[in-house]
Amino acid sequence: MFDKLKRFSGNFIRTSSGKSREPDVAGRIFNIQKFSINDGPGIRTTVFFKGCPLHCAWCSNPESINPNPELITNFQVCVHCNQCVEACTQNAIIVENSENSRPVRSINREKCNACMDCVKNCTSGALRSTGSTVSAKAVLEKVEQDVPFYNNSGGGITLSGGEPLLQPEFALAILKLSKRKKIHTVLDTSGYAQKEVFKTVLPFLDLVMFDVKHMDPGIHKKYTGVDNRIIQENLGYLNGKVNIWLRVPLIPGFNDDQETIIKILDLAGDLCIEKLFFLPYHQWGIGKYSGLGRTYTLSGLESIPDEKIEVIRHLCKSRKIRNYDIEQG
Amino acid sequence: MSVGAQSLNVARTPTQRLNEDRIYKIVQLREAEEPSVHEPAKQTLNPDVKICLERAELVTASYRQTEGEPWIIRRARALAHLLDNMTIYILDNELIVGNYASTPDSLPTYPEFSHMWLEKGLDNEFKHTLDEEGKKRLKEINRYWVNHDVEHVLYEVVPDELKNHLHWNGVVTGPWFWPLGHMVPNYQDRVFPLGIKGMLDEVDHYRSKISETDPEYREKLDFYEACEISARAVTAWILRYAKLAQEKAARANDARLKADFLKVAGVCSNIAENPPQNFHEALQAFWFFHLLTTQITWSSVGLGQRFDQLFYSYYRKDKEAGRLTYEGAVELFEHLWIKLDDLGQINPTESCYIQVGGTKFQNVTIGGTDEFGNDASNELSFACVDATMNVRTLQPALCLRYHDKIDPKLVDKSIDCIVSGMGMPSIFNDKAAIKYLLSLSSSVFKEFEPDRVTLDMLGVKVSGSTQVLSRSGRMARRLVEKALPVAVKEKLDNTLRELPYFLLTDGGKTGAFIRSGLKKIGMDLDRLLVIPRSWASVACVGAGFPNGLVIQGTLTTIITAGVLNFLKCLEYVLYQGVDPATGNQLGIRTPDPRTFQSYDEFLAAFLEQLKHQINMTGKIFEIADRLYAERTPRPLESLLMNTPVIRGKDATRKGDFADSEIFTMGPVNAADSLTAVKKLVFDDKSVSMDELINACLADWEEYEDLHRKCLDVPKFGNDNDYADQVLNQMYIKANRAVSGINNHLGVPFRLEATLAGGYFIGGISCGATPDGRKKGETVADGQLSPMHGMDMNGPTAVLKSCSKVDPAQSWNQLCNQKIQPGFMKGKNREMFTQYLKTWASFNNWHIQFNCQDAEALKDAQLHPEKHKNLVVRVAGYSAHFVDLTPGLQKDIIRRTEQDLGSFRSC
Repeated sequence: MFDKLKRFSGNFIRTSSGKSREPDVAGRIFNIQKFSINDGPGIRTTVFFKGCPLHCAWCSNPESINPNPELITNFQVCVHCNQCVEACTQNAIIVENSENSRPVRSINREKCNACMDCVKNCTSGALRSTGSTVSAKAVLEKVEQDVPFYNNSGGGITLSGGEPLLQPEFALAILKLSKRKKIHTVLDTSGYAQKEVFKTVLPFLDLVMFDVKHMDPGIHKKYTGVDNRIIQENLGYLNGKVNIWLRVPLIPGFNDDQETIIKILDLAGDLCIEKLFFLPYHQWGIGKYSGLGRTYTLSGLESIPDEKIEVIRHLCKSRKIRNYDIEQG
Repeated sequence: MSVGAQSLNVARTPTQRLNEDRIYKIVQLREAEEPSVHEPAKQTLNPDVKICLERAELVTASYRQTEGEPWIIRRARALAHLLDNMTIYILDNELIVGNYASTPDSLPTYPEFSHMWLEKGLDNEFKHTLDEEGKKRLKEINRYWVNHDVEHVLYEVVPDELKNHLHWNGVVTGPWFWPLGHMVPNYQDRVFPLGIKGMLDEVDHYRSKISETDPEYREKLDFYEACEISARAVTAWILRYAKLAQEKAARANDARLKADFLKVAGVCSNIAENPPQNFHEALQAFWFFHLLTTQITWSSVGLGQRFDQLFYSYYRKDKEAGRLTYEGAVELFEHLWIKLDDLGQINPTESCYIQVGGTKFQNVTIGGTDEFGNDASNELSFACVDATMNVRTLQPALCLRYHDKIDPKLVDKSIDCIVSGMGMPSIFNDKAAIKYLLSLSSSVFKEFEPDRVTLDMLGVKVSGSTQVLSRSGRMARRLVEKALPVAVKEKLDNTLRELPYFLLTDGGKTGAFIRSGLKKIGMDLDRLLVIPRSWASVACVGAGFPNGLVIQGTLTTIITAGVLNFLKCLEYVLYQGVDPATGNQLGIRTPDPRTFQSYDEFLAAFLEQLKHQINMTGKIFEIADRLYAERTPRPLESLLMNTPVIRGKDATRKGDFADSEIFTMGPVNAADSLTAVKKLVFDDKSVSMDELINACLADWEEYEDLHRKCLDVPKFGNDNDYADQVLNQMYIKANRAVSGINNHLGVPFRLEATLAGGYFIGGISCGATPDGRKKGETVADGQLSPMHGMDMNGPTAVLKSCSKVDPAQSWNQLCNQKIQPGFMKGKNREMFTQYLKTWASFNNWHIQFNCQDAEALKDAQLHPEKHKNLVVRVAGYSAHFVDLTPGLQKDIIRRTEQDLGSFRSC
């Protein structure tokens, strides 16, 4: 009971003085996922930012790359009511009749201007808009709902994406608000941002999950579209200032060779990191590529064979790296 | 699948062999091919299951001979005749013995309740259960019961205006012709310490005390005589098993089998009259009486025992003496589990709506606290879980009483069992349960008061302290109401409502200080908690004393539970009490909803409809319960209960606490519909009531726009205050509305408990509803489970939503959560434990985790529109199952199958 009274008075004080004068910042996200149990410690809520400076061929969230709202389709659930066709002013929705009587739909992405009129008229959820502009406070409102779960499990909020630091003010606002509510914060980043940005968000971060994809600048640029120099610099800057989990997406034919792995492990050995994760390549995102009207360039790629995983385990062991984990989906 | 296949190759244990050779007697309830309001579902029976007419024949023969004698004597004599003459058998490898039908593959029937349904069903669903010869025998038996079964009499005495409600009409029904007859014998204080001999001595003792001047002298004498007849018959019956085991031992060639039979013979002859002396004997004694009370005398359901407490003293004694090991105890539990799982019954289809699939809903409770509030789990708690994991039987259903001080290892073990795909144990929160029991205390303990003897026997003096507590609470609340502004008032009001509970359970210094102070002035609050702390779950999540929580040796009313379709009542509001499917005026005529000015008017009309239905049901309840109490008394069960022998009255008569419940069907959909009406029609005013009604009538045809709007309205289960509060208020108000309606024992009805599987009937019988549900579509299972596919924010949001519904005020508790098995494995396991802890801190009552099985995923592949909320959780990834390509979906399905292994599911 006394706890309750205390909580009550606590609320009271907060509401009277806590009306923040800071302007509310808005940004663009494409999802807030509660009960995320693979994005940092404990039970977390992951906020997926929309927009990314990298465009990795294996990206499992292709909708995260373009910063603008996009039309995403899943015609599996379509009920063929044709309301979308009527609504489309650009005639971008194409209906073709197929042999087994069910019409096949597709979007002419060149004509489509992403006005989302079709989404408003879709009865089945086959057409959706991905990406919405929300305020930091609205995000926090949703994140705060699960506070009891964070407290018990050591969880909190994870900013993911896309690249959260592509919207630095928005990310900063969310992090500040989170820390004000004593919520554990994690930033899941590609590392591709200005050092100043890292500097401003650093005081509000409990943990950074930092992606390391490749050590060779040329190959890095070829597969992700950007040089890894800035990324490496940022990693060096963060080292020792905040808890870091390194995350290495293991992509067959890109960074799963022994030489690259050894280089990454050497890097990990030099840094002061809490954990090292290998995330083996998966194709879960493939459906979203066609939904967005894009082609998946890696469709022939096999998943990482068990032998290679064993090699990595062996390499880690020989380098006395114990705090690693391989997340096999 | 791989797990199941492997286990076949490994050498099977005797229990596994016994289990696999069994014929599975679960009856399935399926949606009928052409479902109608009156016949929404059909049952299908395993074609290998037969009907055994032996019980019916023997009982009928006895009833024919005893015409004219008092009902209670006839009942006892019928039991004695049955036990003396029924076929008994012992299978090889059995260590716990006792059967109820003449062959292992058959089920008995109970013509004294109702007989015609079976004969009618012989042309349809029960076609294969009897051969031509059997059909002739059945006709012969039924000839006697034409004018004698309870159904026949009930039809005669129920007034015409209620006859519409005797059978399922889309909105209410009850097991009028097939009573559930929940009861929980007191093994702890009666069966085990006294033995049959001790109970008979007690009968003699109290019989010698009644005087001829007693106005009920005759009835009491009859009662004691009936008790004696039954008890002696049971002794003789147990001795028959001892003899049979001896004979089998003499004939057995295998040395191990011979030893087994001799062991069984010894156990049976020891407990035929005397109290059990060791673990094996206690288990066997329990089984005999459980079998007698739930299957032989009556086809009732439920169990309601804390096995780890009940048998622990025997286990400890045996273990200390070196006679028993942990593994030995697990094996004996396995034998008992197989026996419990083997019980079954063939019901009239209509009864299956309540008692789905003929399961017996036998709940074994483990964990929990002792009377001082400390952790009570012990080795036997683990043995229960181990036994379930070894034999993988669906019955008994394990229930874990979770509390703050629980042994983390037991939680771990339970998670093991859940992850293995069993979905058991379901988890109950002690905090909520005890709070609930205390909040009930006034009505419950009042019910005890006329019979001080009960309380004295339990060694508890409660009335004084509860009165003081509730009175002080009331006074303080009144003060608050006058003096303070609304917002502060609500906060304080909540705190004050919690005050008694806080005083009783606070483990900190403040609580201890206040308790010790009160103790000095003669109010021992700890003793108030002794009863609540001993609770166990009886059946499904509920049903029993009170609301699923049971004190040993009490009985609920015979009918026990009716079913009320909330969603139908909501439909009645739309159509002024007329069922749109049939055009009949079954509800009360409430005003035209088009004229309603506010949501409150709509809600009031809804409550009016509910109240009307419960009134009607209540009347039938009363008539039926009295009739059964008169015609089918339970002398044997009376021996096992706390007070009947002392009072000289049968257990079915007033005395012990007995409450009546109304199971709710589709309450979550009703609440979602209320939310839709509230938001669209009254708050946003974006839709007119007329439009909404027309859309529902048209099953959303031509109203796609409105349909989408309705689906977009917030739904329960998403941690959305708007929707969650509508549900909470609906429950609280509905319970207040019916609180004035009492059963014939003077205990108010409660809209509560849980309908385990029959919920889909409610959906079939309803047209389209404002929550966006289509005509005939199923409704949400459970009282706190969100509508399928409507919980879009993940499992944490569901728990948060549930936490907003106070079980002590709404009596509602059942929440099923589907989770993917990966959530509980590997590094996620610790997280899951914390998840559970958070759940407990919310004061939610119950949760059952069902692993997302491959079938559900396959269904999601076929019907993606119904499973939009299925999230795939991979690091740094955001997507739903339905968005995956078919190949990847298949991959997930394959892996789920691997994770879960295979087991029999109903």
